[in-house]
Amino acid sequence: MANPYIAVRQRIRRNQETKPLWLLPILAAVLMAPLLKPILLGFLEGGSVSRGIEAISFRLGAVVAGAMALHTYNDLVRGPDRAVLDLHPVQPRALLASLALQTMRERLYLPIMGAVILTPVAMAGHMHAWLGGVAVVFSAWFCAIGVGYTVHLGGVWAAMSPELASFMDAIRGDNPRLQAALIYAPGVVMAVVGFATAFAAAGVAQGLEGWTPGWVFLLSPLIVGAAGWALAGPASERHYVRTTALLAEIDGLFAGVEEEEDVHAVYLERFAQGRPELLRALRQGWRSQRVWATGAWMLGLLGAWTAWTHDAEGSARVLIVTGAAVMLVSAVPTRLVDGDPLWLDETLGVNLREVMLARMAVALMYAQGAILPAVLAFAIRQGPRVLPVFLGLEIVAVLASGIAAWVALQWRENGVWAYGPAAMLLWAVWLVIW
Amino acid sequence: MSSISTEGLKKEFGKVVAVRGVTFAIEPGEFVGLVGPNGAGKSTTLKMLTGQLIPTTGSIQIDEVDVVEDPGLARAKIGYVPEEPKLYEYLSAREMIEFVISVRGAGDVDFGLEVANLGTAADRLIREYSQGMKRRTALATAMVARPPVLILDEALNGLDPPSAERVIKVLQEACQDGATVLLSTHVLDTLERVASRIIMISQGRVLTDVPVDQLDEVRGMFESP
Repeated sequence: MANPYIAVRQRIRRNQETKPLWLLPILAAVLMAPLLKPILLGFLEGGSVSRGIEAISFRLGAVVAGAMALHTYNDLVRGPDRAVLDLHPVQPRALLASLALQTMRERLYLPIMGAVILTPVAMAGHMHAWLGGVAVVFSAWFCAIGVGYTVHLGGVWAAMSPELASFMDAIRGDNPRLQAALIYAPGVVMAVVGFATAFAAAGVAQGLEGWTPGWVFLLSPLIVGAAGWALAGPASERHYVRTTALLAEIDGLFAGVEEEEDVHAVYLERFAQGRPELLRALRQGWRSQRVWATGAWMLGLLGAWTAWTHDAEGSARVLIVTGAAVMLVSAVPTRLVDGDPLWLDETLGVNLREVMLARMAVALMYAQGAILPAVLAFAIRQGPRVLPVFLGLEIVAVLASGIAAWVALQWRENGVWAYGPAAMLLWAVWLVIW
Repeated sequence: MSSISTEGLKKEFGKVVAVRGVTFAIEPGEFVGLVGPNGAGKSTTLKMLTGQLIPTTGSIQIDEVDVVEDPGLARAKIGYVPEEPKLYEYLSAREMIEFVISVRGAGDVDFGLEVANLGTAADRLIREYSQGMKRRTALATAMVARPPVLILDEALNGLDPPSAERVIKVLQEACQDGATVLLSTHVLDTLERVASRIIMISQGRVLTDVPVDQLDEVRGMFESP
């Protein structure tokens, strides 16, 4: 019997007549590859080619795994299909197969980007190293899908398990207990996939150094991913339907907390006095996209850890890591358009340029969470050398948030497809200039 | 055996108590109106009945299925129309109904389209529909497989009077065929003509549960809760 979820997805795609927006990030990778060439080849020249490709492919695989950990969560747990499917009986395994195909189709651009970014390695004459690196990135991507589904469904079980309640209480921070497992699940996915990817990358290095069995290690992410797939089916039977109640419970708890607290307490709202569009954008950001504000500070801590060094190369590392964090956080305007209806602005006669500037300001303010801890750590360790780093990061934040706000105004939710490639290019150009 | 039965249903979100102990039973073929002011706990109660929320305490049986124990199986017994219609915007009503038939494993497209009463618009994309058309499509998807229990949350909102009349007629016919209907609404006058019973909820409690001929009593409570 045909899978009804695959069939309906095909119909929706046909009716949507979607443009191949996924080509944009690949195009960005094509443009980035020559810019990143000195950095990539620096890895290869610093030691042996095999160890260099191990380091590069592991990092690219980890980035792909991180992205897929979040995508699998969004597709399976918080996906837009859930609201429609919740009204009807569900065939979880058939649905999971459909979601997997959809995730693969929509996220295939990620490992392709990885392969494109690695092309300078091949063009420098290291074809086997390039092939090995590409294999690592693709296997990490595959692994993350299977592991992602299983871990997220396991997260639902853990959230609702009475046996784990005290453990969840210990790790939940200020979040509802039920959400703790969901918050940590992407980290678990990254850890599992990262471990398998490290084996694969090391195997490639061994293979390139002449130890043929090393190539077998390339299979480790595939084996782990396949195991994830095998477990995801039974887990979906038990937990897919219950996820709906869990999410409703979490949302209800948050609503309750907001009712108890001052509902007007919005992050950075004091900077919006006399600026109604900024106030609206800040409220929209805090209430519907809070993870961008809090996540920025988490990235800031990562940046601070990177910046805590006396090393002369420290400034470059800060600019790479915190620069990437700023690019990521600055994407928030493309999310702020969600639930901010254009028709309302048009009906009320709101100046859309002001809306754009307000969203840009929100992105810039959120980005400070990523910048300030890193800059502070660097200042403590290296004193006045922090000034050009600080200035450079702020320039990047202004540019990135401006681009994000502009594309969000032009293309609404689809703006992210333009912003992502633009931000990656900006980041690559930024590294080259620095 | 009741079609819908709840016992001591309570729902807390942290310190916020949305439902404080709701108990009622509805027999097969009954048409019951669930009324109450905004924030009374109607939608929370309906979400618990449909398995979308887990009660803090209490039990729910739908057509002999324990909703808390087996929400997946309970879904097959229920046709649910939420307050906001949830549909695939990039399908036509016909395609949406066909999809629901395929996941429920039962139903007839022509019957669904008759319920939706969209005429030639049935082949247009749902995203182009008015709110009323979306609501009728949602009703059609809930009814097309003829589930034994229909639960409708403010299903008459946004409908013009002729459409509302038609929806009521369809629901009455479903009742005559043996389905149980629980309709949450603010519109008491409509219930007067179609419902056999009125359950009024206020502040998370059942305030009264009376035959429809005592609607005036409920109306008085509505005006001065």
